[in-house]
Amino acid sequence: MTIIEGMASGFLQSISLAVFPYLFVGSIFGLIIGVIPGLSGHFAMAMAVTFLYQMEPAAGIGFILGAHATVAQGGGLTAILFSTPGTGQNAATLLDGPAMRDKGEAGIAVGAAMASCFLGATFGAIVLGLLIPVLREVVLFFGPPEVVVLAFLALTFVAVLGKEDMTRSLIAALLGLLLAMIGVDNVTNTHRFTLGSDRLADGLQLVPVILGLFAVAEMIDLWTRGGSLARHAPEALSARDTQRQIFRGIGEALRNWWLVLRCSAIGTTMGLIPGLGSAPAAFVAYGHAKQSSPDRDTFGQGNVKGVIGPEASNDAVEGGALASTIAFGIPGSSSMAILLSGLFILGLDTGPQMLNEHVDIIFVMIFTIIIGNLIGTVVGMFLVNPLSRATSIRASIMVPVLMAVIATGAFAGERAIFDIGVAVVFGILGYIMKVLNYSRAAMLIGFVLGFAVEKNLYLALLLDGPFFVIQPIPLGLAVVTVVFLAWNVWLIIRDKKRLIPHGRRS
Amino acid sequence: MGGDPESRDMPQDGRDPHRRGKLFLLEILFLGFIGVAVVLAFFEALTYKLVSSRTPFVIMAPLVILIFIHGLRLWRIRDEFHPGTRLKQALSGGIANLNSVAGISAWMIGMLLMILVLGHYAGVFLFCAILMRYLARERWLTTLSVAIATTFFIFGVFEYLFNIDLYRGLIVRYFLGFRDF
Repeated sequence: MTIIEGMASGFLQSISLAVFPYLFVGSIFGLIIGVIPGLSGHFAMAMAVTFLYQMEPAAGIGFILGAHATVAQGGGLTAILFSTPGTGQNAATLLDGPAMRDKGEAGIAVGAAMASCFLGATFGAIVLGLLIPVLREVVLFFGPPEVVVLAFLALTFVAVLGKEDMTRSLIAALLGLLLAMIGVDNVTNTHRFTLGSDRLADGLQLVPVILGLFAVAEMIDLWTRGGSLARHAPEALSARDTQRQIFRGIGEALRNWWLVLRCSAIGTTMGLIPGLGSAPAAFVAYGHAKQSSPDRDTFGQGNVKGVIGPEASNDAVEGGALASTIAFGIPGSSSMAILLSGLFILGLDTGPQMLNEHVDIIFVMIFTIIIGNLIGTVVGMFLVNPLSRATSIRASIMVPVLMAVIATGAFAGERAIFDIGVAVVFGILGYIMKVLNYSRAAMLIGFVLGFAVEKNLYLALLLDGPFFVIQPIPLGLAVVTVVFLAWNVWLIIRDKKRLIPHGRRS
Repeated sequence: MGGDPESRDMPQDGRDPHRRGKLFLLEILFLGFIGVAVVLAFFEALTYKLVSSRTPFVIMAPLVILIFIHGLRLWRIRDEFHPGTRLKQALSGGIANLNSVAGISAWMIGMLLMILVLGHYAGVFLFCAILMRYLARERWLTTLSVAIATTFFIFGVFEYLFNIDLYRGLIVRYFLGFRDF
């Protein structure tokens, strides 16, 4: 399938009646989840996975990516209106969004944020589309040895660059890889780590593990925090004034198109690097917006550019992140790991096969991101006040309802009660990891990559022997991995040495 | 990467000394649990053919080293947190947050058992009702309407829309003539 054919087919599928309703529902679902503080994009995607079983691939992708696409928009809304970012990626919006609200410009900030999200996501999606011909060529150089080393490189990046402690994250990543080893080994038919259970012979299923780590764990967290999800009741905006301000905000985003473009480029580039994610991208974009602005003194006091920059950047990340996920099957973030699991459930494989035979599916993803964000922007524009009320739903009502849906979703895949148990166990594990600062993203990525690592390691050893790692590309990647890890370990040791004499003096 | 090295030894959200102490104990237990599990898995892997145990060994070797290094970091700062006292406090139910987590976790396991015995719909209905009414003290009207709506939503989406037969429970299956559970 040529790229032009794929693009046309992807677009027609995205707007068809077989896909669009799922995309629409997914986008609204993501927007609502984004609005609710404490529930993140991972949660939206984890929940969306539970509904994928009976869907066609394009519809499933529309649903899950639609949900993911709009989460940041919802999160931006609450960051501005309630000074509580709905998701971590909206934290940078807190720097200027609430200040604008306090000046009576909440609508402008919301409009600018929504429009910037849409423009940033569109930029990222277009870059992804433009990268397809390049990725088609690059991926041909990646055989089993390259994939094995690339997987370790990605895991190292995720563990080191993530917001959690490096040692803890590396432990989590390796634990994830080890968990993927549970089950019957395809080569020798040996039952590995199954504890004699027939259920474990097929290994741990992805969906209950995802639901446990990212959905059940969040439910436990919400339940223990208790109360209403938004601590402060929203001050209702007058509908007419809000609309007027929102349109002014959209105008501001369009007027600052060059800033949007630069911040989107920052987001997309950072999305290509595994482990960075959208939160750092948003802060880098904020810093760039401030540095490059003539009125930098007003940043932090309600400058609309301080909202436009981070919001454009955190949605542009997805285009870059999708590129490495689609091309190499190596997810750079937990969201991409969940998306990859969703693709498995839908019967799709990443790598050269997708880039050559399912280009239409890649374009469904691209158009889903664009259309999903457009839906989010339009709905957000007209339903700011009703959406903001979602924050006042009490945890005591939300947790039982969502837990019931999560349990059903865990059961639905294999029709197994056992999988509900797996979700509960991983939920408790995920909660402990969350409070102890162990990276759940690293564990999930390790778990998802475990299958690929073992298969490709086996093939690499079979084809090239134990010295497969000294071929040019694997050697280059291995050197980058080791140097990157060593550099970060050295930084920690250096910091520790500096602190100890300082501590003694005091 | 950079930052305060001291903060690396404890979870970053544990600024409050009491909370840090509780988290320290939790981490000791967590690390101990996974350390023992990995060591057991290591010995288990020794019984496999090399082709099957190769990848697990490649993963477990650095994992054991990392757990040891991190355990050592925690061991060095143990005196600051009095883990023995914290453990006694936790076992006597003196940590409210832990009680809350244990409570919701126990009810999740309870939901699993209710689904197993009574079936999916009865299980999720009872789970919603118990959590809302008895744990969160919601009004009966709210409790019943949310629990019923949730059960119907699950039926509508999974059973009706997606054609997924949800589990009917051991009791119903017994009366339907199933003897193999």
